[in-house]
Amino acid sequence: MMKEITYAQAINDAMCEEMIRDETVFFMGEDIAEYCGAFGVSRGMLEKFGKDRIMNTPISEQAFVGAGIGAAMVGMRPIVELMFSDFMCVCFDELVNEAPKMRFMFGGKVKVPMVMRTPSGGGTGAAAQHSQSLEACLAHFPGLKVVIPSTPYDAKGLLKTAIRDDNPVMFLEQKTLYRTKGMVPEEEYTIPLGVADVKRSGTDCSIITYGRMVQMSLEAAELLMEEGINVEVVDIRSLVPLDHKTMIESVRKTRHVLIVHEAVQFGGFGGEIAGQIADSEAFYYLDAPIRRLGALSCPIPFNPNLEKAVFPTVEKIVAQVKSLL
Amino acid sequence: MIEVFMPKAGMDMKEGMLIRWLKNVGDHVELNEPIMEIETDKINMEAESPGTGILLAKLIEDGATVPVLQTIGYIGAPDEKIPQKIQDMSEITGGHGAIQTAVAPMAADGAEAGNTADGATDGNTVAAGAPPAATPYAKKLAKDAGIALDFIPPSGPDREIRGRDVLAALEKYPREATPLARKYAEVDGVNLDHISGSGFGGKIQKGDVLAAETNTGSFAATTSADIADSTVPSSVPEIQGNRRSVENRRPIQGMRKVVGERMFSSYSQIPTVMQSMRVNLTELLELREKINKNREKRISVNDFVLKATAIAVKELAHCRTSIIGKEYVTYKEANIGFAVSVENGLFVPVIHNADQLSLLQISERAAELAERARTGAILPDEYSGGTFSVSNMGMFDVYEFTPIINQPECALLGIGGIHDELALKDGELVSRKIALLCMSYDHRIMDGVGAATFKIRVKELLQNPMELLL
Repeated sequence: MMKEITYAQAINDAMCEEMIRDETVFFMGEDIAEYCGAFGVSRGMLEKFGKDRIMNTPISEQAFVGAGIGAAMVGMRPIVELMFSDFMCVCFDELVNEAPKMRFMFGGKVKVPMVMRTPSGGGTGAAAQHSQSLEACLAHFPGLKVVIPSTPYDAKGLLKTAIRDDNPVMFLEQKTLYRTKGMVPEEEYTIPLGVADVKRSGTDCSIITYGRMVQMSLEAAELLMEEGINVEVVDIRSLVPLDHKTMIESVRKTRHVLIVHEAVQFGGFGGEIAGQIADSEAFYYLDAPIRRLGALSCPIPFNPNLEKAVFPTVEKIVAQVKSLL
Repeated sequence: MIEVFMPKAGMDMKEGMLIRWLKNVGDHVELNEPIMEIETDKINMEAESPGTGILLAKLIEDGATVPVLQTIGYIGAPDEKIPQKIQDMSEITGGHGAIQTAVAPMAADGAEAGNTADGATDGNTVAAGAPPAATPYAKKLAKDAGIALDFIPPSGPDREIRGRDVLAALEKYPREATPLARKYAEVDGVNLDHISGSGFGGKIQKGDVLAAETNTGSFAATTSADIADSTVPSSVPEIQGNRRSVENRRPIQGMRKVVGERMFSSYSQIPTVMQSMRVNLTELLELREKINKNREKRISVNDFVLKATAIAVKELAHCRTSIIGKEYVTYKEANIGFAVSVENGLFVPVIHNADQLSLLQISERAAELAERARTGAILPDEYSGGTFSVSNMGMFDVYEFTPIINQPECALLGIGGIHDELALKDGELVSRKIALLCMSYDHRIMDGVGAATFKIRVKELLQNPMELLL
């Protein structure tokens, strides 16, 4: 049986199911209890699980992310929420110098099964300090896993897997997707990390993307289909681990590739994807340069029109695909 | 606009090599005036202009080999533009480099005058030197299909060749193949895209498929990289422990290729039996001495053999018989071919109705044909239509050999060298001149007795040479 729920509800369901399943799972963050989080994701969780497992924290990312790492090292499975992903910069030392290193520095005697959930990306008029997509920074550090779901179905299945993972997982949610709806099975399911999902099968050009840009790419694909251009949309779903094989097979098939992400294009994760394609047997099948489309190198403007100009749009995706063919 | 094409100079001619153009682009040419020199698989010849006008373009360079009837140039009025089609030439097998056209200088002038875009897109120039820009996929497709990128028009935004351009070129020049070739390719799992055809217009024939199977390097040689490899002599011993080192590699082509294919075909298809018989030429040589006394053009032993063979062939129907398809076909004429060694191969010129010619006529005709064969002036009709052939190795001191039959003939008579032999004649010790008649025959057409009957008749004629003078 399937039911239609929102992206936010899918995340809520995933956390609740895992908390029921495993007593060591608990949740903490700023205003997540009575207020239900800045985006209302944790609605009803305080009533279900009580103050011991749904904990409001002070406005101190260093403190509560550090606490989460410590709890994970002694056998708990914490979920910590950063109100905005931009705030990871406040606790960057904990996230990149502590969480991913412990397991290796202690020779496997400890592990850090922590999930850091955070709303990421722009499109809400939240300006330069509350709109960024910083996944490329996180993907750079060995030991961190980085997941960015694009649908309610993926969000639930991937988050459940992330909570069960014995390593720190950075779970970057897309704030403009929280209210979007999708069909999700009522039965238990999980989705493994590192498996891309071909959201639309096509023959003429591959769009490799993730997060909010998946839906935008699918819309662009529909517009292009009206002109007879059959686009394949590959949602990589997790940056680390990365599903190399699906990307390469897609490019081999369509011979053209556009990489789309909301993050700033310069130094973005698209460069890694482009590098992996260029470095693979897909190279010999490329019939056009590998093209990337990301945000302009510019702090996200407050003005909605300017914000739109900085981010990729359906129109920009359509234009880029056409320029490749 | 008149198209200049590779002439088809004989029924068997499949491709021709342009030795050199005799005219430059921009030159005025007259109808039937020689404009190029070509080499077929058998001869070199001059080819004439198909019309009067200005030579507007050369589509292939000196040294290029193309299928017969392929357009290789254009003749027209000075201001005529050559068709766009020439840009689509993708099957040039040897002409790497620029297409030379009469309008190219004009385009260059335009570019100098700041009209760069027009000059670049004028369509009649292809930049020489730098390899054409192409996507990895286009390069892969071209390499797999064994075609050069040089003449594929690009459609990419940066004037790069895209995969679709290669596919379009392949589509325009599809790999035509005979049904039999397709069947062979299908059964043996050979990709026709990788084979160059030797048939009319580059059509792939059964032989091409078989050749590709036995020599996988043959089609690889069409890529420019491999051509470069083949011409650079290997100066470094290849691998230690490998006791062979390559001195050079050469493509099998031209006459050598045809000779090789025909020999292989004959040797592998015909149940050949070889039979020898001794013949006493003492009397013939004495007669020949007398005839040649005071003669400027001397009658050769070979001329006697040709005459004797012609008579015997005319008398014995089985020696004029071929297997064509599922039938025995007996021809009326005694058309006698004789092998002539030429540089890099051999010809078998044919003396038609040789039985009806006198010894002198045969001698003159044989000398004339041999000379024409050696100088490359022989015409296709002068080396076809034979019903029986002779090969004389006597002058090379060969004692005995096993000739290979010239298909579809029934046999080939080889003549060994003459040697002295002592014998008893009426109790007296005499010296005799002996030669060996070495005949290979097709056992499907005749049996040992049939072959012996023929040789006995030839021997009888050669040992009673006066009969050959009648």
